[in-house]
Amino acid sequence: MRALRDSPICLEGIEAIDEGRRAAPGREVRRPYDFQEAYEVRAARTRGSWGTGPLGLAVRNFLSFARQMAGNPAAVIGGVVILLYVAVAIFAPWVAPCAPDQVALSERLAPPSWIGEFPLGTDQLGRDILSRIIYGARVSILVGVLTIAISVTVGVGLGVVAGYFRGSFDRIVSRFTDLLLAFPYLIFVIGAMAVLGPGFWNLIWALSFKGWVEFYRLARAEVMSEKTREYVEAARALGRSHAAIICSEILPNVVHSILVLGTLRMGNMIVLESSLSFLGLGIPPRIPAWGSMVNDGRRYMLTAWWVATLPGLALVGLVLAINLVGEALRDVLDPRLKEG
Amino acid sequence: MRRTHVQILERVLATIPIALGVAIAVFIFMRLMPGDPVDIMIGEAGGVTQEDIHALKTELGLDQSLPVQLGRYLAGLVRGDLGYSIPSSRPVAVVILEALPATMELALCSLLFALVIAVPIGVVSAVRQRSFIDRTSMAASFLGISMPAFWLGILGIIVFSLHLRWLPTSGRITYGFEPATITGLFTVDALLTGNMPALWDALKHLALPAATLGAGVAAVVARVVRSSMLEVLRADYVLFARAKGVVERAVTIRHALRNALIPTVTVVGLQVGTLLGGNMIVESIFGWPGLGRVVVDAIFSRDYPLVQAAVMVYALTFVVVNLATDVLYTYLNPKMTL
Amino acid sequence: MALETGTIPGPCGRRAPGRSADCAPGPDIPRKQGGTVNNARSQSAGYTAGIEPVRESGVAAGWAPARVAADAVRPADERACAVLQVSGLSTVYPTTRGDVQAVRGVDLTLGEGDVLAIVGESGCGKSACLLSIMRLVPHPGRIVAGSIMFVGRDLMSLSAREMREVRGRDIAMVFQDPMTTLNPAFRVGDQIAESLRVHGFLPGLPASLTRRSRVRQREMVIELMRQVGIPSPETRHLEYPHQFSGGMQQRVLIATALACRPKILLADEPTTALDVTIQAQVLDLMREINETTGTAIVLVTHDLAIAAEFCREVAVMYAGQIVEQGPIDAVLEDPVHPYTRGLLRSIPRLGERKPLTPIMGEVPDLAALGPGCSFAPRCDVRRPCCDISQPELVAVDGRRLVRCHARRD
Repeated sequence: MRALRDSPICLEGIEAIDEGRRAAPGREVRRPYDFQEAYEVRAARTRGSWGTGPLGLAVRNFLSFARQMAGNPAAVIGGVVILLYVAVAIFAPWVAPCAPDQVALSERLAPPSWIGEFPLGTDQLGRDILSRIIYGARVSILVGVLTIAISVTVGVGLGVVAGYFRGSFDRIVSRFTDLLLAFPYLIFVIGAMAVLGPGFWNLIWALSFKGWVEFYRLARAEVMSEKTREYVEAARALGRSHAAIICSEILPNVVHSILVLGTLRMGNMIVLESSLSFLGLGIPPRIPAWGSMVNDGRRYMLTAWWVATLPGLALVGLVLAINLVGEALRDVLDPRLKEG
Repeated sequence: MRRTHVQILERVLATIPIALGVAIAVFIFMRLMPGDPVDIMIGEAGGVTQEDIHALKTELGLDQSLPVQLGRYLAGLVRGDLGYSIPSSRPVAVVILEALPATMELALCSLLFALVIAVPIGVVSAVRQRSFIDRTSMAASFLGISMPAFWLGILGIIVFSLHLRWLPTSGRITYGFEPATITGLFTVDALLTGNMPALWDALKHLALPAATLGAGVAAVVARVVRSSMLEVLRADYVLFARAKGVVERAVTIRHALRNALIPTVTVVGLQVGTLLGGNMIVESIFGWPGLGRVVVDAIFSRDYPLVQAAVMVYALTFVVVNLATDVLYTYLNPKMTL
Repeated sequence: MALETGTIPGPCGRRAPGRSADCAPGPDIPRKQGGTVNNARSQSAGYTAGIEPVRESGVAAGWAPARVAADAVRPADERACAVLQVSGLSTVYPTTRGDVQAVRGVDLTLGEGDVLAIVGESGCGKSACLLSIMRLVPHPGRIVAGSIMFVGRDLMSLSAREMREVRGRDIAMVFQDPMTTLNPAFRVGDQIAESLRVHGFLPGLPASLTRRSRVRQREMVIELMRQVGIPSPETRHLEYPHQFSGGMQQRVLIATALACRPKILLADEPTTALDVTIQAQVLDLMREINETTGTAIVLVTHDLAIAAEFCREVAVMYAGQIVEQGPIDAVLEDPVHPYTRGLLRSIPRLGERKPLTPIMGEVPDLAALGPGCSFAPRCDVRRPCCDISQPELVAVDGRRLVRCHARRD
């Protein structure tokens, strides 16, 4: 089975890296450009900055990275927007004009008005939409961060071990990932939520249960290719232990790709969460979440368009910002994944 | 060429364990759910005696050990027996088969829509790299990647159905317009029977759902086509084709696009996964009487046999689509035929 | 040919007895007969003017189907027999650092049946020069000055459509790496046939689908493949490029390029990607083509040994300019330009134990060239005036052209 069944963003790049995949026998792995060279350049760069190099060099590398990111207007805009969302989510009780569950039946479906009490209008129960959107950011951001954190930890952990030691462990885990990849992501999560029932943690587990596979494949492929590099062989010859080699020689070289993929996938996770909440299978209705808010508004689309559209707009804004930053990270850190 | 057939056969055979694994995984997963399935199924009904529960368990085969249950389940699968839907007591296989044509029609139209839009956009963007067209379409595709289908669908309904009143809000066809059933796909049936009013009506109903579902796929495919075209256009054989005196359009289409499509096929195959998942959401937004809506309804009515079977149908479809993609890849890429 | 890489044969070394003898300046070397070169070493089955391509339509009115025989008498005046006359050709590639001047005022004259080598280091503008002649400089590069006269027509003034008709039919080109130059998605035979089709020697769609047309295509393709020495073309024309070896792929390229019997073949390092023994076979094939069909060849190479083996005339390029041009034996025996001398000193010779001396310094940045001679920073006979003004290409001892202030006259 092939890698990354439903990965909308940097698929072609990952597809190419994933040299370890067991595809149709003899399938050609597409190499967009010289991998060897890219690896060597990157190996040299990161070895200097993370491995044995002095602290000063690491700082300088970080500064150069920061300069490159700052020079990309899309990345700056995306970063600012993300910070805004995060700040609003953290300080929701202070920022939001009302409590998210404060019902005002007399003010049902009030339209947005800049001067009125409800800048973005109210929903069918008279709850302030702006406040609910602000509280909804908490759910989306938390789901994005937590699922990616779990997926990266599990995926990279297993991937490094499998790619470094190979053997039966690799074979078993890889078979299991093949099986998981046979399910479309959304179908898998919907099926899981159908069994588990709606709930914040249920959703996190359902999303992470499949989310780690991509990181596993990426880490495994990178480790398998890094392992053959001269500097790893040199470290082996010097008698360093496997653990030391993995931590100091191999992991630093994988970090960049993982960071890029993690950022790009975080947007996906947030979209998946709100899609499930939209279907009523994700976050329970009492917690304000963008997806379920859109669902609430469906019945009032003709009379009160703002109930269904505005929470979605907030969602698109956040996902767009995350994807902008993710693409900028990819361009700076991992040019191999770059398109075009 | 015989070698190709052997390779394809090998690929088909390699799919069988995956398909079996999918079936077993779905079974185990559904048995992992907390609590006893029968309790959950009839828990809300109330006034059920212990005998009733026992009878139901026997009927569902839940009194047997797990391996026996699995064996029965797999045997049933081979016969096409997927159990009975709980609320309606109808065979699950029948329910799914009824819903399948609608879903297939929607999925195929979305895919067609996505490809018809995305491939030309990708080609033009690559040929005119950094032009206005390129920048606009790549910005649009970036937006398309970040935009969830459910929100896009709602926007579409508000704009095109409620305000402009161009398109219907939901359903598959207006009552009374249904063409005679041949394939079950209304557009195809209408075409085959020459029923133009039905075709027009079906297309109007299809437009929004298909565009909503296809938009995300189109965004991804356009980017992939563009990036692989950019790569291929730099290849020596493109320059050599120009040096032969080949017309520029033929260079782009015959020499470049032909090769750029090879990686695109793989990506389109993967995108079918997005299409199948998004299908559930789009069907429930637009009231499309397909498998996706059946599943969502079944989840809320705790109709586990139906959910289990439908999830499996989706997963197996995806497995088969990927197999088809691989086969197509083999034919498109002559290097595969040794 | 048993080519000793790196050796520079003397004036009487094995060379192609090209038809350029009549036209080229310098002493008249007795011409060998074409057949003597095609000996047992060559695998090629003998390049004969077998089936001549004949146009289906009337587009090619006036196009002579049969070539002048190799040893036809040619006018004494060189200008009169020039098939290609390039003058003042300049090409730039705009970059963020400024315009890279890849080709700077190159003049070339190619007589019918001539064989000319352009040698130089990588990045000296050899390939850019050939692509400019084809008007195929990749975007954003462009030709900024110069004229390219092809039998009396200035290619620079042709429309895109007219230029397309010249490409492949009148001037053909083969590239360095046959592996990447053949389209991996198409059968070899179809790629050869495409050449014929775009120039009207085979019908296009829908007539190409008829049985008669398919049979004709098969015959022509097989004949072309046989002519370039591909064994069993009857089956191999149905194969894909990756099923061919490098040498065979290069033969396919040559067959594709020569399908329409062009007057000029531009060969951009055609043997660089090949093994030494295969190199010799491909060179033999090209020589044979030159002798039997009178196709003029411009061979771009960085290997002086190949130039010495294959050509009568050589042009040495440095930093986008021709710095020395003349008969190959004169240039190799007695190089005038310090760059040519440096090149020859950095090549090992068999039987000599003199230490090799590389040319010091680096190729200049073509985006930031000074007013003086571009070789001056690396030159060992540099004079004060070299940093101030560009030397002109002037005739030296009546046989060749040299671009150097420090030349002896």
